[in-house]
Amino acid sequence: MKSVSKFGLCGLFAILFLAMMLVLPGTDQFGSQVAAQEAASGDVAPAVTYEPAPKLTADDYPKVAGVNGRLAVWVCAQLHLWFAAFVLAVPIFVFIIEAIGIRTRDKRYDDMAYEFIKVSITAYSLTAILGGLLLFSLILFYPHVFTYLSTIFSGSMLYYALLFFAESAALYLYYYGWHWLQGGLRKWVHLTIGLMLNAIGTGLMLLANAWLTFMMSPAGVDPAGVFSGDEWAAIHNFLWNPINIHRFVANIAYGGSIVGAYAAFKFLTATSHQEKAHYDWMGYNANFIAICALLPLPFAGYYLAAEIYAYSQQMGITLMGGIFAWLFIIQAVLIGTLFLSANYYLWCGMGRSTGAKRYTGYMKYIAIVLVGAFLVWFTPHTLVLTNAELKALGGPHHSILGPLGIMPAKNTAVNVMIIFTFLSFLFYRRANKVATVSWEKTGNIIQVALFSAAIVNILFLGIYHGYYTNTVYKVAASIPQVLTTFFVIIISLILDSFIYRGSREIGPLRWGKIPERAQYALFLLAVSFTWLMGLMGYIRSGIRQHWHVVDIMRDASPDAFTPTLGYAANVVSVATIIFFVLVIFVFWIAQVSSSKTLPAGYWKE
Amino acid sequence: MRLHIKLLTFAMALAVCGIGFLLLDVALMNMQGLSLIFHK
Repeated sequence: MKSVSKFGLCGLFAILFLAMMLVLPGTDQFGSQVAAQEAASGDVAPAVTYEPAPKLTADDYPKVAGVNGRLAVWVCAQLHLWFAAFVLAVPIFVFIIEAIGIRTRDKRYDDMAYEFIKVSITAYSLTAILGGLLLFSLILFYPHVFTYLSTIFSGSMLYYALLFFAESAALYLYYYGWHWLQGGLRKWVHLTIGLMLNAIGTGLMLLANAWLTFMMSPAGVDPAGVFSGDEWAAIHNFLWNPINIHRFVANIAYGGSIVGAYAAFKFLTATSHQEKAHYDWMGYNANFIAICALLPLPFAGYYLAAEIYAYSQQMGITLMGGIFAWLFIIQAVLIGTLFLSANYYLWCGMGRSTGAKRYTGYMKYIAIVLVGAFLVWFTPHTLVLTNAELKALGGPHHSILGPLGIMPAKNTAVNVMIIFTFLSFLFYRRANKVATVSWEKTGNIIQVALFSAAIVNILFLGIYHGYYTNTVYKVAASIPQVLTTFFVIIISLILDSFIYRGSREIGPLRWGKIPERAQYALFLLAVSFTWLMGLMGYIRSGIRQHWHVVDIMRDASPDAFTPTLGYAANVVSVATIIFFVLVIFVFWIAQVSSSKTLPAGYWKE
Repeated sequence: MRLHIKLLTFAMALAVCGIGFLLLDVALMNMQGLSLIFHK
């Protein structure tokens, strides 16, 4: 781990050095802080004025060793973001698992939390290195863009560097102090360090989000890009909070999926039953975390998309109705894969209990509904056709399937998918229990009625408001749809906890008794998440089109065009492969750190 | 539990849940907050 720490420190020093460069006087080309002439008396504070956003030409973009600047920045930013999402998310649920361990005094939770954070510590060093690479590539290939942004965000960039130091200190203390700070007050001190680590990590994410959302929905500047001097206005721009919410939830789901892949890797390589049982339990918890965050994620994404539309209809239409629309079909396929693999893992996991047999008959119906909703979700609005096909069809829209291509159908499908995924989870939860309350059957009937009414309501809102009212209601109907799903989950969980209060367990859960193919579902979950984040991240950034900062600073580089979808998908796919090579390295390092070799006869006795 | 009691319980629960969701729909579709979200 020492070498890992060194890597982390190298990355850290690189970032600190660059951050210092940023705040040194005279580094900003635009003279953002042009000192005004002092008044004759000499006691008037110098006025600060800012230059407008520069109007660039193709010559303003340095060509370095024949490297494509956009590609370099794209891949570095993407890799950095994946690792950053992972290392910000893992401490959140490590903190929660550690707290559960403290509450239940079950050491297994503490051991699992420690193993999770061990994986993230190597990833943290890689995050820092990739962050440094991103910074270098931005300065090298887009110096004017970087200088303009650092003029506006000079304060927050300094705080970012300081927070990064604090994050490193908190993380190393949290990890290396794990066994030192055990028991009584020490454990509480350790948990507090975990809380601080999360607060700092979230702060870092919020600052970085401000910079990227400023490029999409600039604030604190006039139409020419002249900075008003109010950095908070630039940070608190229109899309800042929608991105904050979306990323926070997505990071947790993503972190869960990556540590789930780690548990699957360890399960498949385990040699003893005890080890298999441990990593099966770890994989289950990771999948549980990923599902918990996955369920609200489509709503956070929908909120973000609605806010993008609200900010700029042009940007919104480019997002889902224009050139990027087809990437949303790929998105639907990948999210469908996420739901199917998460459900499949739960169904396989039911084999841990003999009581699960009572529910296995329902699985096929859940699968049918999930696949049906999945098909609706990825039905395109406008088909890509040859002239002959267009003629035969009478237009780009299919008469029967066409209506399924619009958002009300997709919203309905995703809500149904979430409800049925929750149902899988409910069955899993009940699998090993027998209720002892006298009103069990009545409770079950109420549960069935609740689910039925909710599904009817979601279908009614989707069909009636989606196809028979005007657009405002079409969009607005998505909110009661979401809340219906939300209420079903909450009410059902409350009801279920009362039904199974004082319940009897059928037998101990047989951890480790899960087919190996279930572990591949966990791998699929991690790969789908990664690919999905890459593609959606590209769309989010790509809707700026030929602007560095929308409507303020135009991109004049030779790469100012929107690439074809195939090219973009290839770039993201290659980046995904690079990421997983690095992730395998992280898993391997975690494995190596816990293995010992005893070289017989090497050392003097 | 006899079948007709099961059906009656189900029908009553369905009616209660249905009315509840309908009220939720009406409240949300008419609330002022929506215009704040969708008419910026």
